[in-house]
Amino acid sequence: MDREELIGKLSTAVNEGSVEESSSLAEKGVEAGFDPLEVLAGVTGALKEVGHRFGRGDMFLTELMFCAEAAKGATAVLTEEIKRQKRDVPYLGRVLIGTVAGDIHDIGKSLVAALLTAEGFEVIDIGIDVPDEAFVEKVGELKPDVLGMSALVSSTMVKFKDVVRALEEAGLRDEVKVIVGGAMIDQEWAEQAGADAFGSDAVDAVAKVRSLLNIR
Amino acid sequence: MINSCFKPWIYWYASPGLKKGRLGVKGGQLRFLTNDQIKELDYAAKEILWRTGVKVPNEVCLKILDQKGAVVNFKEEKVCIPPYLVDEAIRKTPKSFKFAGRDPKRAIRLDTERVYFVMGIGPFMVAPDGSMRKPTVRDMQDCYRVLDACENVDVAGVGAGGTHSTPEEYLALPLIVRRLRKYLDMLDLMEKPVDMSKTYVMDREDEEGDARQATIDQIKMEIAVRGSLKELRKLPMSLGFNEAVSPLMFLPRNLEKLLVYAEYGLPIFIGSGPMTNATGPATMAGTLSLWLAETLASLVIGAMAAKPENRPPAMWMNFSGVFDQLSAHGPIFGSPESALIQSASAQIAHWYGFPIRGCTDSSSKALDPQTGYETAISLLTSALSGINYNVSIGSVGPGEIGMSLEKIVLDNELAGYVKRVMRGIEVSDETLAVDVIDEVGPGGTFLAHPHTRKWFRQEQYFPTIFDRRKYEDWVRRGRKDAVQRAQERVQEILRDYWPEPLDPDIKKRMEEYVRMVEKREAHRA
Repeated sequence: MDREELIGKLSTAVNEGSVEESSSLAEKGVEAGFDPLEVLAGVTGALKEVGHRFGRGDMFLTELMFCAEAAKGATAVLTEEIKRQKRDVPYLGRVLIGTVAGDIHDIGKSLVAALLTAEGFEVIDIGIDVPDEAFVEKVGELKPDVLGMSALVSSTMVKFKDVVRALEEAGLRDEVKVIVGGAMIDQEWAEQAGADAFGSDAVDAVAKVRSLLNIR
Repeated sequence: MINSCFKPWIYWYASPGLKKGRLGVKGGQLRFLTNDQIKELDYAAKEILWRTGVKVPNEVCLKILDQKGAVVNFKEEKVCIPPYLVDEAIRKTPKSFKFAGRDPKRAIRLDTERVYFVMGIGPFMVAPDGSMRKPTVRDMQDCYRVLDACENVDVAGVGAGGTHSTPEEYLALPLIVRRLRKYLDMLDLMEKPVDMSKTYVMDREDEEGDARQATIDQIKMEIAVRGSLKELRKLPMSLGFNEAVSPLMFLPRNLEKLLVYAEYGLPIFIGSGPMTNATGPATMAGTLSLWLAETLASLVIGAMAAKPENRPPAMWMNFSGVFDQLSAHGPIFGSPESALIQSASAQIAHWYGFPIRGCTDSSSKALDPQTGYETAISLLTSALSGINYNVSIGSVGPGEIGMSLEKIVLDNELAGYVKRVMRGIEVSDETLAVDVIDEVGPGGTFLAHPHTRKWFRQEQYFPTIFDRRKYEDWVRRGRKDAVQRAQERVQEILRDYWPEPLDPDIKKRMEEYVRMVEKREAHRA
C-alpha cells in the first residue's frame, strides 16, 4: 500500500465512521514510515468532507459522532508519532468549552468538542451546569484562544451575557474569542450577548472557530 | 435500480428496507367487522344473487352460466346465480399471483397479506392551485419518470390522459394504437410494475372501437415482451379490469375483456363501486352487501368461462364512495364513510382469501390542507385495514379529475409514513436494549452508542419533503412550504432521473407489434 492509497482508505474510514479501522490505518502509515504530517492532512481533508455532507443534510448526527471518533483515533496516533519524531505538532488553538449554569444539556456541546478534537484543536471540556465564575476562572488559568458556551433552553440563554460581562470585569474579555450555540440561539441573540460568533450546528461551530482564529 | 447519474442520497435514507425485497409491508392491523358480521354479508350477497340476479349483456357468458346451472333469462339478459356456483367459483379461482412490468426482478406478489401503493388516475394535469389543462405526451412521460423515481410507490400506472384529454399528438392515431403507444412509452420510462388496467379512461374511446381486439392487442404486446404466453402467464404484466356497474349490471365491453383474460389465463380485477345513497343503499352494510354480490358475480363469470388448466387469478376491488346529495355527484373519496367501506371490504375479501384493490383519493381540487388530511386518513385507514393495492398516488379529486406531479412526490412521502406505521414495533432482547441503557447510564447520551448507529435507520422513517428543521434553518432556506419543496423535488427528478434503458430487443419487438397494428388499422379504415 503506497501513501496515496493509505490516505484514501483512511479518508473512507473517517467518512464511514469506522473507528477501529481508522486507528489501525494510521498505525500502518506510521509503521510504513509515511510522513505523519501528510497523513494527518489527509484526516483533516476527510473531516472537511464529512462536514460538508452533514451540512447538506446527507448525514445523521449519530454518524457524524462516529466520524469524529474515527478521526480522533487516527489523529491521536499521528500526533504521537509527530511528537516522537520531535517535530512540531501543528497548533490550531486551545478551546475551552462548557454548558452554562442551570443547563444540563450535554450532547451538542460534546459533539462540538469531539469535532474540534478530531480537527486537531486542543479542547478542554469543563462539562455541564458550569457557574459563571468557573468559566472566568478557567479562562484566566488556561488561557484558551476560544471560549465556547452552550445553552439549550430559553431560561439559560441569558447566561451568555452574564459570563461575557464577568470576563470583562476580570479584564479577560480581550484575551479570548467567545462563541455560543444551542437550539434556541440565533445570530441576533449571540450579538446581544456580546459573543464574537454563533455556531448554528456542530459543523458550523467548528467552521466559525476556524474563522475566529484565521485558520484556513 | 437508480441510475448512477441520479443523486441517490435522498433515497438511500428514505426506506432502506425497500431495496432488500419488493414485497409490500404487511397490513390488516385494523378491523372494523367481526367474523360473524362478515358471514352475514356473505349470506346477504348470496341471497341477492339468487333472488334478484344480475344483468349480463353478453351471449357467451349467458350460455356458459346457463350450462353451469344458473337461472338465465336470455331475453332480459338476466342471470340468477345459485349459492353453490359462488362457492365453486371461490374454490376454483387462484388467490395469489405475481405481477411485474418489464423487469421480472421488480415483481410484486399480490396476496391477502402485503400492501402496495399504486399510482392514481386522472385525465388532466393539475397545477398546485387547482388549474387544469389537457396533458401533452411529454406531460405523461414526466408522470412516468417522477413515479419511477418515488421509492415508496410500488406500482406505476396510466396517469394523465383520457377520454376528453387525449394529447393532441395521439388524436391522429387510431384508438387501439394510442393505447399501445402509451404502453410502449410507459415501459420505456418505468422499471416498476405498470398497471395498464386503468386505461379505462382511454377505454371509453374503445366503446366506439373494438374492446375485444384492443384487449387482445395489449396482451399480444405483453407476450412480445415476455417472449411467450407461458412466460407471461408465469409473470403477468396487466390485469383485466372487469367492473360491474351498480346496481347489479355489467357492461358489454367489460365482459368482452373478462372473456379474453379468461381465455388467456391472465389475472383479472373484479368488483364494483356502488355509491351510498344513489347506486347503492344509504347504509354502509347495504352498500357492502351489494358490492359483494356484484364482485361474486364477476368471480363466477370469470371462473366458469376459464379453461380448467389455466384459470385466471383474481384480485377484488372496491371503489365505493359516498354520493354527495348536495352537489349531486360522486363517488366522494377521502370521506370517513369511504374509509370505513374500503376498510371493511378488505376484511371481507381476505375472509374469502383474495387480495383487494381500493381507492384512497381526496375530493379536494387543489394541493391544500384538505388534500393532505383526506389523503392521509384514507391511505392510512386502507393500508392498516390491509387493502393490498392502494390506487391513489398523485391523483387529484373529486372522482380522479387529474394528476399532479407535485402530489406524486407528496403522496410518496405519505406512503413512507404509512409504511412505517404499518411496520409496527419490534420487540426483542436487542431492541429492548437493556444492556445499552445500562452502558449509557443516568445522564449519558445514546447518540454516540453503536446500538443507535445500528438501529436508527430501521426504526425511523426519514422524510425528504416534509420539513423538520429548526425555525431559523427553515427561514434561511427560503420559508418554503411542502408544495414548494415538492415542486423542487419534481424538477430535480425530471432533471436527474432516468430509468435503466429498456432492453433494445424488447423495445424492438414492441415497436414491431405496434407497427403491425398500425398497418392493420390503416387497412381496416
